[in-house]
Amino acid sequence: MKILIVDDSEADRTVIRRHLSFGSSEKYEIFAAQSAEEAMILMEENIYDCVLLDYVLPGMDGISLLKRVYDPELNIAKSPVVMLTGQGSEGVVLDALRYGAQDYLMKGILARETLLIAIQKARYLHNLIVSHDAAKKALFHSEKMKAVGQLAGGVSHDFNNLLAVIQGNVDLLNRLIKEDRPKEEYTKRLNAIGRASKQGADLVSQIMSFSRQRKLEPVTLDLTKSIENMRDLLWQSLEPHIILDVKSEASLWPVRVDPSQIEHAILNICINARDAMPSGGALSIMTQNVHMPEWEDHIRLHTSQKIQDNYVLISIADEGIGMSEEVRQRVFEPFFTTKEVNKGTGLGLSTVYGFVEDSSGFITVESEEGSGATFNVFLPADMPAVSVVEAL
Amino acid sequence: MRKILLVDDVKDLADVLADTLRMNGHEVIVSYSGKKALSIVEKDPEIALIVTDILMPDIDGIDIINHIKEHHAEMPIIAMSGGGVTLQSDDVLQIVKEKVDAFLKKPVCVETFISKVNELIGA
Repeated sequence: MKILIVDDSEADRTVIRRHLSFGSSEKYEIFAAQSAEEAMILMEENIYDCVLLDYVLPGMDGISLLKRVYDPELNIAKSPVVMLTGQGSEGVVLDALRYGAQDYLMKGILARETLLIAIQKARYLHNLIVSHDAAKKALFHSEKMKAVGQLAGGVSHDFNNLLAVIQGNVDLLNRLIKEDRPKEEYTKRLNAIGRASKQGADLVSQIMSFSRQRKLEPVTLDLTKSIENMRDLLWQSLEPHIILDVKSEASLWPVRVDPSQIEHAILNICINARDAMPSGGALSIMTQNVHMPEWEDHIRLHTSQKIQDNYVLISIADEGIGMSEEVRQRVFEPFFTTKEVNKGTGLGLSTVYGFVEDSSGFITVESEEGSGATFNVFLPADMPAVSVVEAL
Repeated sequence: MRKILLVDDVKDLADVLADTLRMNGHEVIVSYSGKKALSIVEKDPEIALIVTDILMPDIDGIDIINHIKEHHAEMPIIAMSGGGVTLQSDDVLQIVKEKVDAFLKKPVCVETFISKVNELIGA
């Protein structure tokens, strides 16, 4: 067993060596360092079964050394550490435990039995933390692989269906040509091929957005105009029994976002709203300037991102079937869908979430079962410093 | 003429396969939903073959296959699928393969499809 003793007092090192060398079935290989600097190099380059670390050292003290060698993610050093202190130094003990030591010993009353138990306990606790972390990482990896599998499965199923449509129509088209059938019969086949390849392209684009492989190209944008320009697209995407109502604040602040992505986000939320209103209803899109500090408390509740000076809020509300609290909480999760097979990949809203976060904004959803849903997209306002002062 | 019932929720696919069968001289009824397909089977005694997708909303292909096996044991079945949406569903597909007369993977090869149909109900 490899033990590192970090102590500048030769007498103290000898006591420990003696305790470890005599009358024990365990074979100890003992290393020594006389200063924190020397120990730091050793502890970074090697792994010990236990480091016995004195607090009082010339130059850098034991706690400062611990702070430098500990891994903040694991909250321990690479090797187990037992702190050696003088009597009456509770503050040092607490700091030692805080910075990753597993145990401590009082130097004045250092019995052999106590030393061995402390080493054993430190090794046990250190090992526990390391293996817990390894298990956590393995679990995370397996969850990730499961998610990748689900994505691959979903995508290949949808793609195979699209390929089947293309393949089937090409085969039929060949036969129509061979039999010299009237040209009008070709149109139906070509249109179906066109639709399938467009759906394929949409699927690819959705996966690219989801995996955030697509680089955002933000520009300064007037959302009132953008939404106005989307009217035709929205009108085509919504069913005739859905009434679209757009209300924009008169002098809405500009935002800096990727224009095609914000359009995609608004469309995505509206299509979800449409699907939530099978028997029709009103879909309202409202924009407004969100002033600070009135909104600050509300915003702090919903985002851990750095709070921006000002936001523009887009609220999209429907009168649909609403959602349960469980669904509401999972609505932005990738692969989560309440839609039928082939009707939704479960990637739409999670892509919207990713885009809004990447644009330094955030998104919230309010809903109750049976009483509609409202999605609120907060985007940081983009304005020169002067106009901020004017606006406030 | 004996009829074929073709069931797939992907409308463009159901349509092109049905048209292909018709060009090969078969009479085809198309259903875009599993639920509707079951009611067609019960109402139309002339149906001689079922071609069904596996993953569909409402009633899926597995329910259709189980229903046919139970109530119309003589009726041949062709199943087709675009593969598993989840890892578990690959096991499900294995069970399906054992129950049906032919299993086709999407994208379906039209020649294989037609020859299977002809083999099962005659050209």
